[in-house]
Amino acid sequence: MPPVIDTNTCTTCGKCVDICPQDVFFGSQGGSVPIISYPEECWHCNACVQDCPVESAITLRIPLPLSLCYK
Amino acid sequence: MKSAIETDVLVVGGGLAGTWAALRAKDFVDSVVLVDKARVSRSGMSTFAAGVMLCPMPGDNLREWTEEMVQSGEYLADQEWVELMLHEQVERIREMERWGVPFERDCDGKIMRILGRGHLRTRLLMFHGKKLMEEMRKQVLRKEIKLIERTMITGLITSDGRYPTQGRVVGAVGFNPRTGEFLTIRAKAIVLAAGPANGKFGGGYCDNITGDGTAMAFNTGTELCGMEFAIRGDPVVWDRKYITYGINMIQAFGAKFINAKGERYMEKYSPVLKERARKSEICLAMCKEVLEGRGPLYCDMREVPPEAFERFRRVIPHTMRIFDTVGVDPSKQLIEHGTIWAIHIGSGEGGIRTNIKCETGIPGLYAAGGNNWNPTHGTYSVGGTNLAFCNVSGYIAGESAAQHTRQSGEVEISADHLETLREVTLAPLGRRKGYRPDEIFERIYRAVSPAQFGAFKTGVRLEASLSMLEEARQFATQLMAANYHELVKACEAVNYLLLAELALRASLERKESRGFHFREDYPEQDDVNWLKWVILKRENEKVRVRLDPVHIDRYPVKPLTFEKHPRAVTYFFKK
Repeated sequence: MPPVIDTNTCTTCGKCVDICPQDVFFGSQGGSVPIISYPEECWHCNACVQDCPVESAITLRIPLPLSLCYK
Repeated sequence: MKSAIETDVLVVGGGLAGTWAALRAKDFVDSVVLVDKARVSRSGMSTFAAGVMLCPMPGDNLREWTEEMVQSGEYLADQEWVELMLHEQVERIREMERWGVPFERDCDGKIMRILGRGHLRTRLLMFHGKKLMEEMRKQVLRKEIKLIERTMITGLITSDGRYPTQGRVVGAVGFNPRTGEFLTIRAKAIVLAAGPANGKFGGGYCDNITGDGTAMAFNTGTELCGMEFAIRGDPVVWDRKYITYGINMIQAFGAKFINAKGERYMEKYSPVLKERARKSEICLAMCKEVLEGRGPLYCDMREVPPEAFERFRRVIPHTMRIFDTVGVDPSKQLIEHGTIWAIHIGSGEGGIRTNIKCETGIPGLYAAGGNNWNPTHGTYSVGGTNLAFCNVSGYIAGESAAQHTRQSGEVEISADHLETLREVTLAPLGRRKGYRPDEIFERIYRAVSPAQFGAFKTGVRLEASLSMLEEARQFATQLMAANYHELVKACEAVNYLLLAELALRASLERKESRGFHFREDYPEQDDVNWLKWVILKRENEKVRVRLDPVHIDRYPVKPLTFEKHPRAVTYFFKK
């Protein structure tokens, strides 16, 4: 369930790279939009979503089965 | 060696136990180093905790609390530890309050206390894990503790260069998963507080916590205890897909668990506590209901008061966010709810055996939090015990480690020894052909997660699980990693595999049923023969098993009668 970064709203502050406990971002530092090198490792802890200074610049891709069942 | 750091006390792991250990050690010694695999306050089980911890307060009858905890833990607790933890926890909460940790309050501004899973007389307080850990981080920095983040400790340095050691522990090695920098830390004392072991489920569990501390200590020669309870469930799966924390709070505020027939099934298995029954009963009951054709199971939160949902949003925002994202309103809809079975070491299900000072038996090595066997739990006691134990064991381990530094002299570490440790750690980097860590994890799940292997076991099936791991053991010698990030995953897989094997070994040994451990071939709780701890220790390449009696005659809380009891939840695959 990889995070998705909106390249238009991302301020490239590097906060998400700094805090990710699983280290799914790789090779990115402040100044460029982070690259998600290990998308399959994300356990959607939401740390990046909640710490991102811009609302909805990062969203988590929620797996389809649950959405289909309940929406 | 490129980077060598010297310190009095090294703390491995920056969760609640680790930060407490570092803070306490710093009261006595000048130099304390805390190493974390990721970033303190954004990683670790405490950060993503279910938001509750045991909250004894001045004026509470702690004798009654001890009694409830020991009974819930089915008499396998070390009662000396239980009493110590409850008394100390009063102080730790007071200290955290002074720092301004935002605990949830009632309308009078006092810490709000609730009844959660298994509680009749004991009480919990509520907090937001991230906010708590942010405060802990602040305290660590304020006390000038050296923080080394993004570094995975992979091995302990022993004074004799042997594993298991006859000497003592004199340091640790590790590397940075981003830069690859290899680090050697010489320390007079080490506190392991690297948390429990989880599988990688892509859910609310912390997928980067794989029992690295426990595995490292076992290899170095400490005893592990309670590992048979490590094959266990957790009632945290939503719609067979999502795993989130916070179930304890949801239970506390009146959620109902119902089966496909609309029955509140927990009434059958735990008539008094019902949905607030202990975790072991809930998980086994869930498996039984489904196996007997009364699934799927649902969680009904429609009668949970609206103000409780507001509290959920503050304390377990992640869980609520998941419901929001998928468009489920738990105040109006049922949610499919189930359990997951896997190897969960630590926080009450086995770990490094220590005495009341958190000493492991190897001079210079201490264990706290999820790495410790958590003697206050017994099998698996009331909710909120783990975090209370993190506070207290961290504090005690920090103090013991600091005291030890006074008596330990300098030890020469041979360059050869360090070079060997480095080579072993980095070996997967050199392989161009081999296996990926995921393949090991998958083999382990296959061997322990299905109900016939995990929930309702027999000796024969446990042997089968063990032989199913044979393939994984082969893979583990041929792991490959393309870079340092993947090297972390390789190390994690090796550690998790070792612990899975030990959990199966211990389960074979315990020939009765208790807590999460149910054996079809020994379906009763046997207080005549099995008030014992199963202890595992490495001897050369073999695992030695020992049974230690629980000295129940010396403890204040005893069972009414010593006999065999039927279990509340039983299931037999072969009738």
